[in-house]
Amino acid sequence: MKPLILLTGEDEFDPKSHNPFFLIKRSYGNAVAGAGGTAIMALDPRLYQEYADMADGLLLTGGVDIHPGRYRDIFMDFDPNSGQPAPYVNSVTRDSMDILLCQAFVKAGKPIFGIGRGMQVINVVFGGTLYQDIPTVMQIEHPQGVNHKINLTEGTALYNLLGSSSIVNSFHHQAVKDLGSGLKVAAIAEDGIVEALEHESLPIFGVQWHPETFGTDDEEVRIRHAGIIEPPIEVDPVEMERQAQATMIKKAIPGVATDADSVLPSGNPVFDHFMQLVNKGGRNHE
Amino acid sequence: MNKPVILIMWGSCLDTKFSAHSMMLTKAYSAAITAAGGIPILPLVESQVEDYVAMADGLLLPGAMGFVPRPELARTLALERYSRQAHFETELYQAFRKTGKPILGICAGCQKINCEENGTLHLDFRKMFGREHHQGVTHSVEALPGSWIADLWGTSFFINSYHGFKIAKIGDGLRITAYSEEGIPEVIEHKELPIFGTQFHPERMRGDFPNPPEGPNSEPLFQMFLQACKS
Repeated sequence: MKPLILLTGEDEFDPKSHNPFFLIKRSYGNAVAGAGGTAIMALDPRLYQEYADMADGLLLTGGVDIHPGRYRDIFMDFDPNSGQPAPYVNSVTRDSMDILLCQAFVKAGKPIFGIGRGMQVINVVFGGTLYQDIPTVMQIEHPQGVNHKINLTEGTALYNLLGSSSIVNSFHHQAVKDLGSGLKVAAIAEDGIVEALEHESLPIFGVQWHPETFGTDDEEVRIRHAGIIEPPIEVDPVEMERQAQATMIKKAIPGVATDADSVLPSGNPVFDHFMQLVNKGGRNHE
Repeated sequence: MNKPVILIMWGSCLDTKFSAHSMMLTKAYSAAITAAGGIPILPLVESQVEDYVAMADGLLLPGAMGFVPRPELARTLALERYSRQAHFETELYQAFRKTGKPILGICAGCQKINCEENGTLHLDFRKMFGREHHQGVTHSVEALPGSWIADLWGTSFFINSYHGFKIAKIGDGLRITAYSEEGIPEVIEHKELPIFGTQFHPERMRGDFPNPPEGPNSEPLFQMFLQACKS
């Protein structure tokens, strides 16, 4: 059987139906599957021990900000420059899910991979802290949606993987401040923002960029969301009838595939690295 | 591990930030499984049906869920639901059915069970029959003595209602074990296999804020399902 990878998802609330719900982008599970793992998502923070017993590795995915109380800080209520409310969203229940699972997998000695927020979770679990908003606190521009260069630290696994420098995407407004104990910086942006972390002795690492968009349509979808509205629907009576038939029997519409329908992305170096750690069973890191 | 692992199917949606294709699950379903002593997990990759069947002890098919950040993307989501989601649901259902592992369908999941067993549905029966069974209307049902639902809750009880489709012809091997006052099917079960379905939402009928408040506590229903998954 393939290694089982547990993923965490967004923890959201639908104001229309008053339902709290979990959500995860398809690209995360597909990237895990493309690297050779079976992907499932955790659905209850109270079961962290059961999940840690069951799964071979943990993938902490991207998402909203971590509550500053988790790293002994207080809310930056207002932007000191503009006086506007500080620009962040958080979820205390998601913090519990991610942190409890991260601690349980650390204890079990099983591999952990953090993406975006997930990397920040790893830092916080090992006692590190965060900058709450890059432009207001650090006084630098690190725009979302703009690719930039990173420099990798010699001697790290990511350096061996990607070389001394690389170009990555960027979708974050918070950054690592003080490093957690046992962690080392594996990559850094030209403006000094920490872009990747590795643990010195445990099979744990995280990246601030989003490698799961590699080989998927996420970038394209984002661009469409930003500016272009879908073309008006041209009603084809035959097609509408076919869709109505499928709806009636709750079966798939024959031959219809959406733009997310693609082959599993394989050859993603960062995910391959994670699966290598998992295949080693969390032993003999480096 | 003695806690049964329950695989819960998702609903297609688009995420708020990027409109990227995503899957979602309303927490009430997973919370009901945890409370009854199970471990809920969500499958994330369509090509891994065999792995999921091997690791899980039972399947929960939930009701329809959807989240569209912008109205003009509604058609994208509808296509997603009736292409990949419907296909994956069929594959999961048939794979679990083949191994004899228990399946519980709720609302749209109950209708899916019926359709997979060659039953049919009435679409938009509210307009066809002038009966409102949507947006949480509360009503009583009559259950057949000796059925699994009557063993749990007796032959008459109150439920919630959130559906626009209803079962028309019952599928092969299935039987209807509870009807509303107007004759709308509310509970089904398979005559031989451990397959159960409810048209109402038992996951909302438990905890501190049960819906409807006058209904029975649904925790025994999930415990019954998990007991079936253990054996």
